Amino acid sequence: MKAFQIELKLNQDWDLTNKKINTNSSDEQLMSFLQKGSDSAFSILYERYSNRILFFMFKMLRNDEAKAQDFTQDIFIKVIESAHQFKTNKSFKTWIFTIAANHCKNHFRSVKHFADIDREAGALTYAVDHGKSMDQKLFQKRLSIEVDKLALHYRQTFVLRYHEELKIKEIAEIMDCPIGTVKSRLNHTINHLGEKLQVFKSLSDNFKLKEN
Amino acid sequence: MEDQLRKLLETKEFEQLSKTEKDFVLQQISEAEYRTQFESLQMMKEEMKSEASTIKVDSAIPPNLMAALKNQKEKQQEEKQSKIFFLVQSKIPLWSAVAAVFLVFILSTPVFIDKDIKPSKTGVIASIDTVFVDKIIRDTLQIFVPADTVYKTIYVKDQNNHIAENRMTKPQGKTETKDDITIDLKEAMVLGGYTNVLDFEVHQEGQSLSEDSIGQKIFDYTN
Repeated sequence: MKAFQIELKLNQDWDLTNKKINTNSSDEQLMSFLQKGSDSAFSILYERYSNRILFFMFKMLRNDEAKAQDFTQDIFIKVIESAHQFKTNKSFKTWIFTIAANHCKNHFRSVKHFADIDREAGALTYAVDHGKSMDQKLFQKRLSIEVDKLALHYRQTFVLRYHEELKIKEIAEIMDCPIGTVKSRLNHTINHLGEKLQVFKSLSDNFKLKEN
Repeated sequence: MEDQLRKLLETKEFEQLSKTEKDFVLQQISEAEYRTQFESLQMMKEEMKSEASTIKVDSAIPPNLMAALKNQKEKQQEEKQSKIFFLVQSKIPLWSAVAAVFLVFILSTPVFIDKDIKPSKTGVIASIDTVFVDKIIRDTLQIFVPADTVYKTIYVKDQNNHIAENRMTKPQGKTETKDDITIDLKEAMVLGGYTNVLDFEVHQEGQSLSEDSIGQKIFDYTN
């Protein structure tokens, strides 16, 4: 990473002398420079989006970090290869997340992994093992597990909305579906999580009562 | 309705809701449900934030990407060059190249272009309309009659039909064209071999001078 940062700095200096690229440039401007073959434009974009894409992949792949790292690399290679196809009047953020979402979809299609893994048992074991004090951290962990259990498109919608804080319209564009569908998925997810967590909370309260 | 509820859940705690909003929420779900959902949503956001901060991209990725970027640039450069030098790079037989150059030379050299060739005139096409030409020529006929020429019209009563008959006297006049070709009009008509002075062909079709209205007038005039 350090070597990469040094390289980035050098490239930035070189381009800054031409007064073309700087770290305040918009994503779309940077893509325009990347289309002309600028390394530093790519480096800035990578710095901005690499961790976001990594986390998105991490959540989509149900917390499989190693695979998420590989997928992140794949996404950026696609960005390099398809840079000339990007229209600079469009949003880069939407474009890169569309690539990421499609990559996930293709992956799950190829491995026939659409059926949700039932992690209920594992989650309960986790809760019992570490459940001597049902603290807030455990509750958060439980929430995370519940999100992981969601179907891919619900999970994508949820992460894009509440972690990436994208607009409903942008999510609809990324997922190639109507705005109403996105809203419906979000409502469903919130209701579902609320129901699950209410059950978990009541279990937690009972556990606390027994402890006392 | 659900959309409105979701918007409230995303932004406001139950305590922060106005009276109208509270009424709206309570029509949909209970207060406890709202609180749980709001809490879970906020906690989920925090959980995702803290989770995201724990994972970082692998340090091996950037060098790989820079290598990929370099390869891509080389590839694009090659494609660009291949487009520019397409003709040079493509191999064709020597004789084909020489023949092509020679052909281009011939086609582009002015020496081989015949400048003496003049475009054909369209006047010929207009002269095809012989009927039109005939009438014009007849209109231009000039008749010279001696000053002492006397024209007599003799009316003879027809016993049967009572129709006046013109008696023909020997014509004294002669026709003359601009070409100074002079013919005895009457004799020519009598012989039946009347032809246009400019058209020396014998017409197989069309009207004879005696049938033609203009010819008849001339005939009357000369008589």
